[in-house]
Amino acid sequence: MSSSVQNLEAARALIRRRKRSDRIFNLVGAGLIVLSLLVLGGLIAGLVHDGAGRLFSTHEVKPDGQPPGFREVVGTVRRAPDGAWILQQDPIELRVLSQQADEVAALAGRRVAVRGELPRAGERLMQADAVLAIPESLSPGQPIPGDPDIVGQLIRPGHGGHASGAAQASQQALSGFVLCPDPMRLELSDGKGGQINLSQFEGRRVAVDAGRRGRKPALALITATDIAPLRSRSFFASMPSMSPSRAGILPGVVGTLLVMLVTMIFAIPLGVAAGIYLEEYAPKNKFTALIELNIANLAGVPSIIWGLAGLALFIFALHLERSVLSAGLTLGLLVLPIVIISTREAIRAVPNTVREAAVALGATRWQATRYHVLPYSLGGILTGSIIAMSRAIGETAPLVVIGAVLFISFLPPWPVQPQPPFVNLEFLNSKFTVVPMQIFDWVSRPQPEFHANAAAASLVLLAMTLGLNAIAIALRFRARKSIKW
Amino acid sequence: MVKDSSIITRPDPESLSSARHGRFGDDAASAPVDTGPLKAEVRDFNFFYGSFQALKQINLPIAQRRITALIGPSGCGKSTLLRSFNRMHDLYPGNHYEGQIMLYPDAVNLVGADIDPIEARMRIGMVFQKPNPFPKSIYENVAYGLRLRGINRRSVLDERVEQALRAAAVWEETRDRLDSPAQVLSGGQQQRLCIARALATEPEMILFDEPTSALDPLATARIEDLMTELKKSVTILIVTHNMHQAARISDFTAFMYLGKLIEFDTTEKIFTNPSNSFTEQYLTGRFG
Amino acid sequence: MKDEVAVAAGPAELGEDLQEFSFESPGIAGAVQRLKERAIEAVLFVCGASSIVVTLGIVGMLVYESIPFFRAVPIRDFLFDTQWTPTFANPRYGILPLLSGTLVTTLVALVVAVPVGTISAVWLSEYAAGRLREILKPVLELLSAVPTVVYGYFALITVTPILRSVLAVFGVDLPGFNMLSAGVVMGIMIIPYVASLSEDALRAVPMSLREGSFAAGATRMQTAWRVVVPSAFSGITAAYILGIARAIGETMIVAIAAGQQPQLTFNPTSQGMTITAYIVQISKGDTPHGSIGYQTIFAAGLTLMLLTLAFNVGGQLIRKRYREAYA
Repeated sequence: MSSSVQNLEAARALIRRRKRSDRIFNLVGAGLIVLSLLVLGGLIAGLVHDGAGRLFSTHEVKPDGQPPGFREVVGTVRRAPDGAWILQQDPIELRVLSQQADEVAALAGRRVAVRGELPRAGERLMQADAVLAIPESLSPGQPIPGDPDIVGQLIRPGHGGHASGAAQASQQALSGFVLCPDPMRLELSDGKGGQINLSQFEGRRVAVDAGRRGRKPALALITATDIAPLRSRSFFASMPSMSPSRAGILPGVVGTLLVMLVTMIFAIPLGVAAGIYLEEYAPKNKFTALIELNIANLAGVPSIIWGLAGLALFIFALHLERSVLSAGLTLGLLVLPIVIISTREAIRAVPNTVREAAVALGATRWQATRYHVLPYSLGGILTGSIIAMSRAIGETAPLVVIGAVLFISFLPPWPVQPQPPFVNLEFLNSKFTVVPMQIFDWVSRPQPEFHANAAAASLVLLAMTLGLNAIAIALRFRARKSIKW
Repeated sequence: MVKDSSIITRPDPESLSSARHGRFGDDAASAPVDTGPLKAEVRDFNFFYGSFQALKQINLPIAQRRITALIGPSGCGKSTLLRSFNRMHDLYPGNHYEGQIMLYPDAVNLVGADIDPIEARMRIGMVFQKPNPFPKSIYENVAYGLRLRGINRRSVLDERVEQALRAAAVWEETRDRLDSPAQVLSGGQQQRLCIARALATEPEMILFDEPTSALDPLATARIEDLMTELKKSVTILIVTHNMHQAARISDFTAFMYLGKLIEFDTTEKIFTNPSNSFTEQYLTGRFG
Repeated sequence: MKDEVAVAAGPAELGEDLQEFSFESPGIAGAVQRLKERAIEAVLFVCGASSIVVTLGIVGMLVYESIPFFRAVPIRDFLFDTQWTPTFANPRYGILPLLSGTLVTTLVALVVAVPVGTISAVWLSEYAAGRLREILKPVLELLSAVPTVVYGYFALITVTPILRSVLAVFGVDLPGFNMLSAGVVMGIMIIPYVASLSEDALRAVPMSLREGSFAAGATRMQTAWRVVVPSAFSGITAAYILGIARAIGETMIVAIAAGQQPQLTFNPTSQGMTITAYIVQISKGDTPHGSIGYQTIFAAGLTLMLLTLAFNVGGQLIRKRYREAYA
């Protein structure tokens, strides 16, 4: 009896050890899944961190859509107490040579005259060669000595200053030494000798063209030949540009939508029809087994091969241009197997009793399929199509091969127009770009400012793909809930 | 209760009460069944699948080194009761046990919350309805339970595997191909392999869940002979849909219906002169 | 046949039986109806057969476009030369550097995806409660829904600096473009492939096997690894093979993060170029069409196609076999 008790104790110890490993594995397994999801979260967090700023940023453009010229002066038009017009420029950041830093620091809080290379319109950084104090004894109206390029109040960030409102906010975004430029009197002539009425610009942001000699910082005067109001343009509404802060994804979004339109029209009807044939009509023999294997293979063909296929077929053989049409057809080929497979699975899920009931009442095969099987499988077919589309939206490689351009300066013509015949098919022949291409372009550039653009565009692309996926999953749940076999 | 056997009636479950060692209900009290020493005892046992009560107040003795058969129509709970002995219900969520299944000689409550299911399974073996050999060699199938218990020395395993295969009457058919996958065996051979697998760990009790329902009569006969041999060393509890099988091999029979134990007695008594009319109606095919 | 009711037949078998019945109306109306049916069937057949046409078309096209290349470059050079420099003045056309780039990145990806994917699949199948599994499986599949160009960004901008600091602890230097980051991120992308397909294979194992193992006294972990995984072995292998095929064909992650230099090396910390990244580089660039330099993309594409085809067909066949085993 005691030996069996001993055995029992030994057995219990063994069981305890085994259960401990079991528990550890439970934690490891769950932990790995959590880790994978955390990585996904980290990816998105990184994108948000890098790109959210750019995503919601705006930059300024003149009425013709162009940015201010690099010699133009940007500022806000205001009225001075004495009724004269003045131009208030934005605070700029001074970068001084290190040996001058202490001298410059000593001048903080005072009005200074700065010599150096002025920042271009829209930029904030200025390389300062010399920062000189302005004598207190100088009376207004006297020209400021030292031939300065710009004059203003020197402040350290966080120390306030007399800038107000938006200027103060942008001032706080800078580090190092900040110069709040003095307002300059604004005189404007239109070259023909007349005066332009400045009251229309009061309070607005403008770009002022003063030429080389129109700027007189020593006299706090700008004599300008042209003035243009500025408006904000968002990341979404901007075209690609050499300057990272002005580049946007408008052509990419438009291109993506147009290409997806072509892909959808080509791939979904064809794929669904093929799926219906293979599932409902094709006899079960070796040939159809081969087709099934074949389609599974096509679903696994690398996307770049589809690009080469599209290149050879649509561009070399059929002589279509490198256009929205050939891109849409190429992506259509790519997603076709996915649509076929998900259609087949959706139809396969419908139990045979439904078909049998229809046939027993006298329906032909097409009638049974069209009126009895398809309505039930529509949810699954729709889900599969949406997932296929979300896959196509994110594809880059095949479009690179097909020839989407990386830097595009125009938008393809819009397919719908207000005049008859209301549909404009010119876009099919147009060159184009898509959002993933723009991301690829921006991330391939060495300047880190472009990486922010890539991150912002990635967020947009992710929102599109994950959004489509979420819709598909929600549809799948709804379809499953409402149909109970 | 209707005693006229010419009228077929559905027995009313509410009017039935459970048997306690042979005594039951309103009928004439009979003497408790002499089972000899007990290996296990089911006491006031209830079982719930979620909120559905599948077993109601079962009281049942399991005689040591004898074959006890559970019979009854589909859905009566016999498999549920069988699978409670080795806590198979723990594998699925939402079930719970009430009451006791005592295992002797150390009087352990197998369904108690303090007992780990693995412990119950280490002491009690099980053979399933459909043969389920693992995708391993014949040798490794039999050695599986031994390896689980930490026995890994080749010499020990060799000996115990041979012993088990002999005891399951399948040694001659497998000795030359111990390393072949178990799937090469026929259905009957596979089931005997599964019995060997259960025997290898020298369990105190073996549960058989309709072990021959998937086999042809010849294989069935071989396994029935085997069980009659095995009971000399191991207590056997068998669930069978085939009441004739119960009549052939078992020492004691329990008849169950809709979750209750209707009658328990020696096999001879149950099949020749059942005390409960429902038992008689089932045995004569009036329902089931 | 006419008198039998078509019970328990699949949809296609049902169709054959349907042809025996004729419930259509007689006469002209019936003829029109039959014609309509046949027309619809023909249309659907064309759509169905199109898949074969497409496959043959792709392979045929790749071969056709590669012919000029293989006329100009002897096949021995192509297979065995150790340098791939088609755009140089003295061009060399050995595909080995591209193959080694593909191999190294794929291996790194597998090192990440196989353990994580398999363990996740086992956990999902054997440990997770039903509802939890229903939620986690699609969420895990989100990992494969991220566009690969975004993964490329992630590899270059986020993962490379992290790996660089980690490796610096061990005194290993990691350049800005390297195959390690690309491989790791590719592995992350493939985890759902491996996990999902493996989990399907594991769930297909019948419960009776698990019950047999538990009845012998095994824990969940012992049952999972000693019985269920070996039973699902062919399905899991198919999952790995399909994962490999996916990794071989991946383009954007390596094009962005692994660099532009083909190198015949097995060191993952160096730059490298895969077959796919090469095709992208030439397509983006200025190589004139019709030149041998340009035709190299088709030769490279043909190699890639044959590789992925081999893995895909192998994986699908194995998958079909395990499915039939448990039908």
